[in-house]
Amino acid sequence: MTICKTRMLDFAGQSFVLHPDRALVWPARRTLIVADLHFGKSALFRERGLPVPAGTTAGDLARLEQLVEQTNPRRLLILGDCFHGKMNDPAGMFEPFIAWRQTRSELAIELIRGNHDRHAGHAPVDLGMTVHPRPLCEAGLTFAHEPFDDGESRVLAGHIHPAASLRDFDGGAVRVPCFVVEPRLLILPAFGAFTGTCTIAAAEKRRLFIAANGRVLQSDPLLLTAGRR
Amino acid sequence: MDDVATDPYSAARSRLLAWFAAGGWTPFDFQLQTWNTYLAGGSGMVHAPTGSGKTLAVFGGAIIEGLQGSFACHPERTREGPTRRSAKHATESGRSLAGTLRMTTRNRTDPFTLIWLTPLRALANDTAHSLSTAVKAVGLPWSVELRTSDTSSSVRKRQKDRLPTVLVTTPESLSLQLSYPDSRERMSTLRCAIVDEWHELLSTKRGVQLELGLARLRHWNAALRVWGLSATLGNLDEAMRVLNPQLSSGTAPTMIHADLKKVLRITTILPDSVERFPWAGHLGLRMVDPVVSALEGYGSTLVFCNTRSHTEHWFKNLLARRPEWLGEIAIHHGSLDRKIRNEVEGLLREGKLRAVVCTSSLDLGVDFAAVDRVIQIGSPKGIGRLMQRAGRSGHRPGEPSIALCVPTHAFELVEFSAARQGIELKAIESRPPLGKSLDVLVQHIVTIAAGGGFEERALFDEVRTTHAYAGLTEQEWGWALDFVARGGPTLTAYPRFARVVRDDATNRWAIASSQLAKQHRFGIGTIVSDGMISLVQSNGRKLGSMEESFITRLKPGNKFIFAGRNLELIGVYQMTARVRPAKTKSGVIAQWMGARFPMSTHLAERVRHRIDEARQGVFADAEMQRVAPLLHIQGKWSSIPAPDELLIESITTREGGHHFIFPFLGRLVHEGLGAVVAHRIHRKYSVPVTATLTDYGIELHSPALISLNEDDWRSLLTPDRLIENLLACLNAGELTKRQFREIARIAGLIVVMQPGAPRSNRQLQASSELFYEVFSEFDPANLLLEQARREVLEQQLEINRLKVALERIANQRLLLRSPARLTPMAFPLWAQRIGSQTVRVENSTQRIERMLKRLEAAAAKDDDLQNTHA
Repeated sequence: MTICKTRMLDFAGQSFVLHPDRALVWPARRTLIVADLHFGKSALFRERGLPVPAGTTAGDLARLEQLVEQTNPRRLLILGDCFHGKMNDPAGMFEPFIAWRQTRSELAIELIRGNHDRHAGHAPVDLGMTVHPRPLCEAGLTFAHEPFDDGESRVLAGHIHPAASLRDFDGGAVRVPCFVVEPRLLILPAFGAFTGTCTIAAAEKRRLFIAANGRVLQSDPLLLTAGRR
Repeated sequence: MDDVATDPYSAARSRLLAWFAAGGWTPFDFQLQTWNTYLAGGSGMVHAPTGSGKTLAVFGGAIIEGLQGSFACHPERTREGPTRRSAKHATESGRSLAGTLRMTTRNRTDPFTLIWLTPLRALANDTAHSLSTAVKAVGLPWSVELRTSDTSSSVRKRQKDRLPTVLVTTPESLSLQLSYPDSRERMSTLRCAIVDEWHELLSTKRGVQLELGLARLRHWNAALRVWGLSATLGNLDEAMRVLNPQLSSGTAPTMIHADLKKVLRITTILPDSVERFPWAGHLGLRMVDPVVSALEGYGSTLVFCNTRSHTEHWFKNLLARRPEWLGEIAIHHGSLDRKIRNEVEGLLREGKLRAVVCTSSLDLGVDFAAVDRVIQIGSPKGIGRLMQRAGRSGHRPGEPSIALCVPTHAFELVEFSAARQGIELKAIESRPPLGKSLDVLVQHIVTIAAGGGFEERALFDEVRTTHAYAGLTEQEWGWALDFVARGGPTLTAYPRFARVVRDDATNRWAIASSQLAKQHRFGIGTIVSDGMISLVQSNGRKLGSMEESFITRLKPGNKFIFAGRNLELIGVYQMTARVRPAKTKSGVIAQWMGARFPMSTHLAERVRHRIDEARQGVFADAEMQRVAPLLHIQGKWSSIPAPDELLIESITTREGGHHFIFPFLGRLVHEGLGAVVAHRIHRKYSVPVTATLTDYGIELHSPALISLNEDDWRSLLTPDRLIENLLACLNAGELTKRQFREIARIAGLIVVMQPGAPRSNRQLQASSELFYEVFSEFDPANLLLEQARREVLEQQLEINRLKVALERIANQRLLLRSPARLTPMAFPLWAQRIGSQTVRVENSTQRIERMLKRLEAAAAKDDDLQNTHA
């Protein structure tokens, strides 16, 4: 069994748990929050003639199942990009998710529609998923796909696929997925395994929490190499 | 000479000779010899330096054959030149001359006859121009056209209907031609393929791609003549056999040498004092003033730099010293827009430029009679390359070729001296051809599937006629076909995947959809570069292209220097960056990722020789005499190793512990050595080690100095268990992953984003690293992974040379030194560490784990602090 060290985080007056499997738990509402699953990405690639072996989706679903098992949520909230894109035959994209859904029928699933979801088209009813076309406001928080800053909203979002780039002793760098936490913004790392990342730079009033190797750790700004501001 | 009575080509031959005579030229012997061999139906290779008339060697033969054919159909043509005939025709019919000529090109030109393959787009223009001049002069009804990625869409469309008589193109564009369903019909009349500058392609995947393309053309026409044109190589005969692996006619290919005596004069601009000259670096801007004086009052000079960035730096600095040279000096490299390059080449040809600062973009082909001299900034890293570049100057008969070398750091003085000696000894490098690359094969299978399809057995046999795939096994072939048909041998791993499909009725394989064919055509080629963004000014003028990774680091309003211009970024939309001239002159200089050339083994050997002479107090030439004080310091602070000694220096700096090993075997061998030794240290002492490599030596860097005695070093440097250790570090480290980048792109896993590609391709973006990880986890038997490992072992690490190197080291005495500070030899390794080639031996999980432990330790310290305060 791998070690699994979570980390508590207070954000905008609410308590959250940062989970090393790139998920966020909101105990007060018994809600498990993930972002950017990109289900069906490998199926779409195959459909378009790019040989990606099957297995990434199954792996993602297994991690999701494990998280639900561990944290026992009432609700799963997906901050966008649940599905990757438009397919001629979308069965390969939806079917594995539907199969898992049937084993977890009591779970409420809500999706904040992301840019990829818009391309992917309507999610099948079998998923029993509530889709929010716009950001969702709840308990003084705004759940969105794309991060934004209007000067007052407290936003939880995905979209960016953030990663921290840690400087090694030899001047090289290692990229690790991370949560980005600012006073009014919390960005989740991408949940899907077959996704890329975007390096986020250190900044004032920005904390990066690395999620890797079974634990969540706050990175030291001095160890970060440059990245997107 | 030939007997006119028995020579069926005598009239045609006279026509060509008349044109030579009119220009005041006499054909060289090697040209006459090539014409004869060609006319007898032979293939072969012409070995001639650049600018020696090799263009008209093979092509002259084709012209004679073409003229003879045209005389046979129209006997009256033997008497008339083309211009007179057209003019007369125009007057008689009352139509405009232009109209007649257009009609001539459209309806009366001969069908597709000859394909001229060139490695560089920059060459294609000039070649097409000179071929077309010859064709017009002798009055052949031939059209000569270009086809490269620069060709306009209207010309492409016309070529899709009908190919010109002579097509000047690149290996990539040949593959593209083969990907159209009617390629066979359109290319069936082809008689000859000429591969220009074959030495440039020989040991590259582009060369392998070309071999496959030629096999296809030969399959359609067994009598196809294939000719290579090559500069001097250590393995000319092998180079010829790769192009002509098995002639169906049974005749052996013919090697024709242009025995032209050319005097090379290679000198170096010496720095005033070597102690105050940088010990490391690669820009050499300290030498701008002497270079400016050298350019003063001289004819035209080509200033060769080793990278595109360097040309930008040098151009900027030369202009800063001599603003009045604006318009007299120009910049030329492969990322500039074709129009800009053409302008520069045109001005150079007319002798209107004082200097062109360029990269290897002007290494080849194009004959610039106006070039009086070349300047080489920094080490050429190869003996053949210096010779080739020097040969770009002094084209007039009897004139010497003059190269002036400019060191960018002190040790390059040794390299210049060594390279000149190498040329004197004719120790020119070989370029070994590559073996069976499955990625190129996979791409080719899809190309042929799109280009009319294939029958499995026939294509297998055809592919095996090439030199590269002669040893392709049934199993490998089966895997490659499975990979594009089903994703892999297992049916379940890749559900609903198919790039090529078999029609059960005809038993032929074809591309799965026209959409896939289109997608594939965008990705044809084996040159791997970062995503390219084209730079366009607000007035619509195209400047060239930049790598995506550079542009994404800029924000709108940021200033940068490209093509010698000061630019400001307006914004990036899709794959186009809009820019405008910047008002200020500050800005970052454009950068490209391209790796620097490694030093060739031949040059490394000459360098070792020079250093050993220095150890014995012999300083053979001006360069060695100037560098002598530095070698003296090296000897005083540490040692200069003899050939039977291996120097190892150990030192601690504030960055940690460093061991410097100096085998002087060139970067390629050092990479393998560094990887093995770092792996062994990591395993034995459980500390992270990063190896940095230069052409002179290896730096092993760890957070703290590991103290190692002679016995420790002996066990770290042993040739025993070499393969086993290498495989272990390949599996763990980044080497294979890095190599996979190229393979993923060539095998068509990375969808190319470029202007014109469908927008929905954005959803198909995934990095090669992601593919590497997914394959490693879910399809570990994938042969492309295996190929990546093999390429690292055979090509990158050159395992055989590595074994020889370790055996050699086993017989050397070890000189273990602990100098008080970085020595002249160690300093370049230390200084070039960042941004140069490194090898790490941990896998990414181990590396992340170590970083996390560091964060945890730092966090624990913070907690302790807080606790004490509380």
